[in-house]
Amino acid sequence: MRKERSFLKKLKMVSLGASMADMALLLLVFFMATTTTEPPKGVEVEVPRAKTVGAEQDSIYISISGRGNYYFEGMEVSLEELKNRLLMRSGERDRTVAITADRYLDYRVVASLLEILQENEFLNIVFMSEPRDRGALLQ
Amino acid sequence: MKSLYYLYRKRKIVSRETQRHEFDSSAVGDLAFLLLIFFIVTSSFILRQGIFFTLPSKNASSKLMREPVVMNLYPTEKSFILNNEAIDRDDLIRKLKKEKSINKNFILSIFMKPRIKYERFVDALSVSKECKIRNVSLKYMEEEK
Repeated sequence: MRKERSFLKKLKMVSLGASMADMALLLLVFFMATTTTEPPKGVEVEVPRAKTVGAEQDSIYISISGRGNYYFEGMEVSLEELKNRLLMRSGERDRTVAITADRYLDYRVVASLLEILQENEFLNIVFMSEPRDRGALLQ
Repeated sequence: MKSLYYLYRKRKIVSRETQRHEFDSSAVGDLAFLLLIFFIVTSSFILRQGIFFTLPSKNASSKLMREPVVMNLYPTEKSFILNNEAIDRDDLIRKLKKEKSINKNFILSIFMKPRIKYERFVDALSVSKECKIRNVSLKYMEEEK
């Protein structure tokens, strides 16, 4: 009995605050490294499927809705306005232009955008798409 | 007796000193938790993926290629026409891979009609990526009047 009491007396109160803080910091670093911010799409579109690679975060976002409306960085613009906005950002020609277009859209709508991009020397394009799964590949 | 008192005093002093040197990490923990909650709430795990394509510069010069080096691909609504032959996706991949094994530098020329759906264009690009074809030419065919 005496022995037990002396053992309990030796026990110390341990605070878990420091280790909790460590854990929180670790998770914080993980989230900061892995999070991606939602790109300014402007409109919800159904993107086509393709064999894809990861797109860069630092892109200029242009979306085209199923009705053929253009969205520049989330704002609806006409084709002329889009041209002017690209002209204003001619210093950012090295940046990738991410095109998010509806899969059922006529190609001519995308072609006119590509023409403008080429005119303004925005040559690095990424066509946003869903990754094609293995099942779909075998179809 | 005196020595006992001396020991008691000494222990008190030591414990005070150790208290003085302790770092209170609770504030850091609070801050970390606060930022952690912020990142959990605002983060999105949406994978942004796509097909990369580099357009030619408007000042780029044209180059005349020998006919066998270029393969003309016409995406249609449900299939592909490769060198005037209608084939499905799997056949196209097979043929392109075969051609790639013969000639590594061959050019795939994609001819797009205005009314063809955008997904067909992306699919054609996807096929070229799957076959690891580096040189892809894109030709927009104007609407016939």
